[in-house]
Amino acid sequence: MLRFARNDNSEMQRYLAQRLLLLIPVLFVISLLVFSLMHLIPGDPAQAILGFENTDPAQLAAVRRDLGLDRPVYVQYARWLGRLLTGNLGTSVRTGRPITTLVAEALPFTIELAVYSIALAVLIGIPVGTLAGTTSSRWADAGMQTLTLLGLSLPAFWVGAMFILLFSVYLRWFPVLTYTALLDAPLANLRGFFLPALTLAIPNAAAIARMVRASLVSVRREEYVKVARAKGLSEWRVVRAHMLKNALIPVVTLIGIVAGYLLGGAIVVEQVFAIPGVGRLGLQAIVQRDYPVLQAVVLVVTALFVLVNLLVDLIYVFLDPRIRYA
Amino acid sequence: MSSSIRVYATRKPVRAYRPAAPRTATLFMLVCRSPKAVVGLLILATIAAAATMAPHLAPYPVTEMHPSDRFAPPGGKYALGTDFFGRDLLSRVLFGYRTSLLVAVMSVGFALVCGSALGMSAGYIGGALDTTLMRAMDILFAFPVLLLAITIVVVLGAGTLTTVLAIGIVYVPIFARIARAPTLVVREHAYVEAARALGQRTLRVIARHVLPNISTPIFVQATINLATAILFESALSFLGLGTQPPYPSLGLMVSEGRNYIELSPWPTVFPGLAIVLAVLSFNLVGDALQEILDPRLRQTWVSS
Repeated sequence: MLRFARNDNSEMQRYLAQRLLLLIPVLFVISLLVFSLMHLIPGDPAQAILGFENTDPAQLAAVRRDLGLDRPVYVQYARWLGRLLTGNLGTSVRTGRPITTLVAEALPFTIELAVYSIALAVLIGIPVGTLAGTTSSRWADAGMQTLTLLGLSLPAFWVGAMFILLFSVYLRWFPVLTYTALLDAPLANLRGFFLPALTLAIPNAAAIARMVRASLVSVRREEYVKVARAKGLSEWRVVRAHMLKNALIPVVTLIGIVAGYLLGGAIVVEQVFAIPGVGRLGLQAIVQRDYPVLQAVVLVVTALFVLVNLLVDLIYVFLDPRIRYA
Repeated sequence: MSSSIRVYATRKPVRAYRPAAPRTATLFMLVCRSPKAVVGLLILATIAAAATMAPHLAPYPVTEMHPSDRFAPPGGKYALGTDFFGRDLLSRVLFGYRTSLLVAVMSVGFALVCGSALGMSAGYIGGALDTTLMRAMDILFAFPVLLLAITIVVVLGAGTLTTVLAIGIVYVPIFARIARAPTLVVREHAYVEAARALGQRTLRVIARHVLPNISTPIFVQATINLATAILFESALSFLGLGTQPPYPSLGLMVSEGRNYIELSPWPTVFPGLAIVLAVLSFNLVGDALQEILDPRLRQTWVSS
């Protein structure tokens, strides 16, 4: 695999540069879209800051001037974008704190949740999929197929509530709603995040298991698998070294897609487990009509989503050099 | 020889040619032979019937409170028990199904019609239109689905109809892509060229010759999206951004029940089970259809 990559080094570099350059217009259009959407929200942000009982036109005008709301929309956008490029996401109209700080405080929780749950999804999904794809029992296969279909049908917010009920309220195995920073107390942190991460992992583990099974079934009859068996290799070795190696390539793409969607799914799970992540920050912003914060959250999460997807595409090309850089 | 001449002479319309899709009768037989599809369809039919008949089946009015029977356990006077306000859970689940199915069918319908129309136009007409439309779809795809739906709801204001639009808009690019790819293939087939040569209008060629030949993947996608739309609607309602109280929605019921889960788990348990049942049955049917219609088709399952 590496040999291929080395031969194609210059092509790979060109592809990488191309993809990175393409990011600029995509992120620009996203920023434009997010900005316009936020401006479509009914209601006057200046009025929201002053409180709805205060109707003094002079004060209202002063607040609007402070926020730059008296300027034309394109000027507002340009100023917002300019600040954005220097890492300034604006100020929360509710707490008066810089939004960059708010996001920076919340983001580690969301990212940890996402990474943790991908790890769990892979740890559950690949073995289950391998069993289903290699078993000779039709019943075992059908049973696992139904189980994974069930996994795809579970609403995360309900599973989370049931987990809390069962493991935290009845069995008291896991603490309820306490989160410590990862670096302060790694074990306590991983314990606290286990149920939320598992909740988020279930549908993705099911999706990965289904993909692994489908891939294995499709390579089962390939010539190289027959050859490996004919050589007298043990069944485990055939599966591991010859079948899984090829079957896992599409799974990498799926894991990438899943990783992106976790950022969205985290909104629900953070709400259920009261994790102070980015999703919860965004929901609070909606409730408090703190639209600059919501705008920043939508922008940051979408930018991350785009970056994760790009990363996945690149890994995919690296893993399977047969794919031309289309 | 003579018959083919007669075809030209009478200008009999060129029959749409369906290469892969099995005929309706065959499809029906195949579906009947798949246990997954049969079980899924049976549950779905029951749920749909119960939702439609909800006003007649519900033992109590949905918003009627029974203060003396708060948190009644399942069984006895109330089959599934009652919630914090003493409202009958069975009645609320039945009406909740109405909301879920209505939103799911309407939003997927919206996405199917708009998305297929966009995808087919892009694929059939091609050129600048294709590039513009598909780039626009890419941008929509660049947003995490739930986040995009939430943003749309915030802009339009929470409510059942907004939920339909939000989910519908999020699903449009999926159908556009599903419709565009086979359109590119079908466009080059001889029968489409023949129809064009006969002077048929673009719209007619698309409706009469392209659509019937690309409808299978769209149909399968719709079944799968009905499942995810139910999850989607319940998640939005759970977050307080979908159907508004006191109207029953399954997601909202879980959200309300959660606050008193230590007092009584039933108001949280039953609406959740109801969601699972509906989503699972759609997924069973979708999965079976996929296997029947195209065993090679691999759907990337992503739940919201």
